[in-house]
Amino acid sequence: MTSELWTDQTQTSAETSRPTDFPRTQTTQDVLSEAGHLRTRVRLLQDDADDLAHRITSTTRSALDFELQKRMTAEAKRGLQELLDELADAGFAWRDIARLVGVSVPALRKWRHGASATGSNRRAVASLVAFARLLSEKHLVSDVSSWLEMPLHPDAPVTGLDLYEADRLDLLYDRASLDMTDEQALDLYEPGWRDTYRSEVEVFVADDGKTGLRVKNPDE
Amino acid sequence: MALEQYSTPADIYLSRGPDVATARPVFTGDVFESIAIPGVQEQGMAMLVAHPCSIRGAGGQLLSRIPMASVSSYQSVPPTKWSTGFFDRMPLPELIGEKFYAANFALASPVDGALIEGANRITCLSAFGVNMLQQRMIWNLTRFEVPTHKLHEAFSHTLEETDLLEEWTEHQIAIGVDAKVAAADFEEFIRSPADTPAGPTLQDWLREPQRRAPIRSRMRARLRTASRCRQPCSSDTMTRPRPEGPRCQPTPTR
Repeated sequence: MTSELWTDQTQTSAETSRPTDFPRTQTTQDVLSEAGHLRTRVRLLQDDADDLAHRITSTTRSALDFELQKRMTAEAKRGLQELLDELADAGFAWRDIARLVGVSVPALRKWRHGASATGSNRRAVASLVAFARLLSEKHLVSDVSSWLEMPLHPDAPVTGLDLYEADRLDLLYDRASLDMTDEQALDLYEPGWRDTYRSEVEVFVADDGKTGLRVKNPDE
Repeated sequence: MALEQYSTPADIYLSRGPDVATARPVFTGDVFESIAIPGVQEQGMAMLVAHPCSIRGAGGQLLSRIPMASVSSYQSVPPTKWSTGFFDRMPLPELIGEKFYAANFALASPVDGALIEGANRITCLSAFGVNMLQQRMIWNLTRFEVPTHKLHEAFSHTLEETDLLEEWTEHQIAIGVDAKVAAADFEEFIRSPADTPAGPTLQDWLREPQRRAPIRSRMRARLRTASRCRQPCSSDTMTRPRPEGPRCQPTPTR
């Protein structure tokens, strides 16, 4: 027990100490109440964190959209053939370009042979070129077309091309900048993918060297 | 169970009618006019239903016996119905105009490849269309359901090679190279070593999705060189057998 010494004005030798307040013994109700307060604080903090994360995502997406728009405007000044040639040199398949731009393969073939495209289609081609350059220059994705063709997970056929077609450039951007794993991107793009793509069938190379399909060995 | 269905007719087709590229090699799912199917029809539309690996033989020539199924007009069945029924058919909505057609697996028989080669092709299926066709055929024959994404994983490299050969042939013909020479040169290109002389070929690399883009880039660079020289891509002027499409090559042992 500690005490404060008080000087008695009567100058006696007696010293008295003022007793300190003893903390009241906490009851069960006190502990429960405190736990409740803490849970509320945690929930509020979590809400704040979620809100902050959402705002970061929204801001990042806005910044990405602005950057892309600026780049697309610059790319759109180039000729259609020049844009298509750049995508071809980068290794994009014509059918993938058609898909990402939103036209049929025959329509794209006509463009390749000199036919003109509508303004919106030209912008779509310019956007694809702009995005590919953004990934290459800002995030050091050295082979953008290969990167987009790779499945995000061995157990799902979803590729970067699917994300682009679904206008989930934010997920592609986050993957490229390593702010998100491929599996996280897949969870956001298609939450039920594990169930959707679960299969008892697997691809294998047969004895004749050709690929085939078989039922998975449950023991493996 | 539920077989996969299309959302719109366009999902099934790569090209129809005048949009069908003449330079595109014959492939699974192609529909031709005026085909005689022994024991089935003397004349009529027919769909090539052989597996991509079972269309060509030595030298890339079409085999003498290639399974084809009769195609005829059919009742317009909504996409959802095809998931749980009509298992003996492949839907072909809006194949010609807005009319609905279907390939009948029960009316199928081998056809001489030489007859197919000379016939008028009116449609090529998309990757999804080919996978959907194969899924339906497997179910019809065995009652075993294979997801289309697994079919794609196993055989997309054959479609990829077909696309490359189409682009190669189209380019070479445009600069005056004979189609047979172009096809032979492509064969040499796609069978060339991808990296090291004793290593896998470019055709082997096509099995891996992440390796396809570099192959396309390499091919296009070679075609550009040919354009500048205005000559075939290969310096070998000897006559070679005429391969006409992808063949499923054994994976070399490593």
